[in-house]
Amino acid sequence: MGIEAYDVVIIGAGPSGIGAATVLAEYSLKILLIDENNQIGGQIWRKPAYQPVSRFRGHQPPTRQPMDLSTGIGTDKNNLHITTPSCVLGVFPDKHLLLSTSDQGVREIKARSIIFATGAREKVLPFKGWTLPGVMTLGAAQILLKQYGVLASSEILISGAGPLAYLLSSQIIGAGGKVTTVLDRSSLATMLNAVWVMAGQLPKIGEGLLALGRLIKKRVSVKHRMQVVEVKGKDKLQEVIAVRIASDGTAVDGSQQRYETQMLACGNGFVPNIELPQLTGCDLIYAVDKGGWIVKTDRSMETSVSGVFAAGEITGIAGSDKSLIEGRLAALSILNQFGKLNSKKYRIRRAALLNKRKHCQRFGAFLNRQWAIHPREWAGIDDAAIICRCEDITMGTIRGWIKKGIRSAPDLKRATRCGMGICQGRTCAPLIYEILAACSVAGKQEPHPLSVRTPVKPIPLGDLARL
Amino acid sequence: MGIIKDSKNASGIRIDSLQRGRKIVFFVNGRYTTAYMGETIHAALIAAGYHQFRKSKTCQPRGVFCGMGVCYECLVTVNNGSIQRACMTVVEEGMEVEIDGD
Ligand SMILES: Cc1cc2nc3c(=O)[nH]c(=O)nc-3n(C[C@H](O)[C@H](O)[C@H](O)COP(=O)(O)OP(=O)(O)OC[C@H]3O[C@@H](n4cnc5c(N)ncnc54)[C@H](O)[C@@H]3O)c2cc1C
Ligand code: FES
Repeated sequence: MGIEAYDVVIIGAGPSGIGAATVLAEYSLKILLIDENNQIGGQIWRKPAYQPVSRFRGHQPPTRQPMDLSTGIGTDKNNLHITTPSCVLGVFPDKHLLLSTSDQGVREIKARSIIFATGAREKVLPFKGWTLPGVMTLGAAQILLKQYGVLASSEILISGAGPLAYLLSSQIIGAGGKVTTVLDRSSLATMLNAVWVMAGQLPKIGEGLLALGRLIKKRVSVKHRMQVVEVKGKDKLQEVIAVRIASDGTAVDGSQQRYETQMLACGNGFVPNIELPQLTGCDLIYAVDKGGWIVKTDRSMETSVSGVFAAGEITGIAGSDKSLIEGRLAALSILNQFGKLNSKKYRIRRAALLNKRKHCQRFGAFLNRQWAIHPREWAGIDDAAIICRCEDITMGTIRGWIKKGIRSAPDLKRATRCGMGICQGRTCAPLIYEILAACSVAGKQEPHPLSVRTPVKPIPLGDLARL
Repeated sequence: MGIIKDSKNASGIRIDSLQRGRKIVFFVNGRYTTAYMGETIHAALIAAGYHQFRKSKTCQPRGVFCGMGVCYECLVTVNNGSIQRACMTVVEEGMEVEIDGD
């Protein structure tokens, strides 16, 4: 059988992927939209697993999405093909892709143009005991609630910074659950500042006010500048210990607080999912105010590999509005390259979108600054805390190797197996970059991302053998 | 099939304002457990009060962490053979799920 060919393959069906698909679908092009999740929508437009939605108040109806995801996309546009749950295992510079589908195993497809819209994952500052069952990311608790209507526990302690911690708290309360305390890493001043930065983004301010209103009404105690440093429990979380962090990254003496809880949801921001574009050979850059390693693109969203585009969180963490805009930008550029959109129209539409993107990028830079963790805190992680969860490598081991002179993440991986486990470094790599920077003598750290390989996600061996 | 026991005392909670699919049964280490069509294994396990899904390389307890397919902490054995991420796999009627710890 010949290899299935598409004009455009879009990897990731969040706002950026859907933004691109909706623009492209207006033209006579054969498009494939792929997502690893059962449903399209990405992180923000997750819907309850079972439709239709009823009175679930914790679920915010997606008001700003381009079309009704449950019915619109893919039905009236028969040139737009959607495959879920399907995971892209590898993309090669000649624009061939390896795709793992639930019904057809692994197969190869090819495209004239590719858009990476793979979004972001969460980052957590490790602490002693963070591997205990009962400790999960903010996103994990949110997905359980939004998609499956499951509260992870009757009472939840929330720790983190940025909008997601408050959004989740509000969603839990709205669904009838109990948030015991919110430990907010940032100061009250930063939070108030957010209102100013979000000016012009009314829906976000509305969401924020609703969240705060709910917290106040339920008398949830919100503690600022607090960070979890240790959790305890035998086989499951029982106790959380947090301290107040001063602005120089040190713990304030006597500020220790203990909380009894069975569930802790925590998060310290997002990291771009750059592994697939990295595998394809797209240039990356390290930008702290954009969330770490990001995919480098030009103003048309094209990466360093011609015909391969990147859009959304992978070009810099800034939230759904930027993702949607960049998805549309990438689509317009492809239309222009394919000769479907004349240069004048293209330039006008692109300029308008680039202008809107500027505001989102400002918001993104603010968010990433708010999430920033002081190097002293990275360097101060307890030696007993596990950094690589797959291989159970501790901070003590890593510190030891850095003292012996290791300066880059790839060298650290070779020395310790850190990042070599089944998640292929997705959880620990972003932590290692920060730890290396914080523990190395100034200027001596070498910024190199961990290498990636095909398949970017483990698959059953039988599937590859069938290829 | 082993002895059929009722599911454990749930510590996770299914909120009642979300419309759900049909009620189904599946088995956790041979124990009879309820779930709803469309739920992932991880949601059904947590709702049934299971938090430890497996043990790590050095035998430490692990459970759901990222909830979105990134960390592989939620690996469980499904139908006596394949090892799957519980958070990315939809539970099915009669499915046998094996976890290491309960
Ligand atoms: C856990 C989490 C929760 C969030 N919650 C919110 C929220 O409630 N509100 C909010 O405004 N913002 C939220 N965000 C921010 C979010 O990143 C943006 O709002 C927005 O969803 C970003 O859009 P995107 O298209 O760039 O990426 P995403 O929406 O993340 O979409 C990327 C998609 O790519 C898919 N994908 C990745 N790799 C592959 C592969 N190899 N093969 C196939 N598919 C793949 C993923 O399954 C995903 O659906 C959240 C982010 C995270 C990480
Ligand atoms: S909980 Fe992380 S992969 Fe399932």
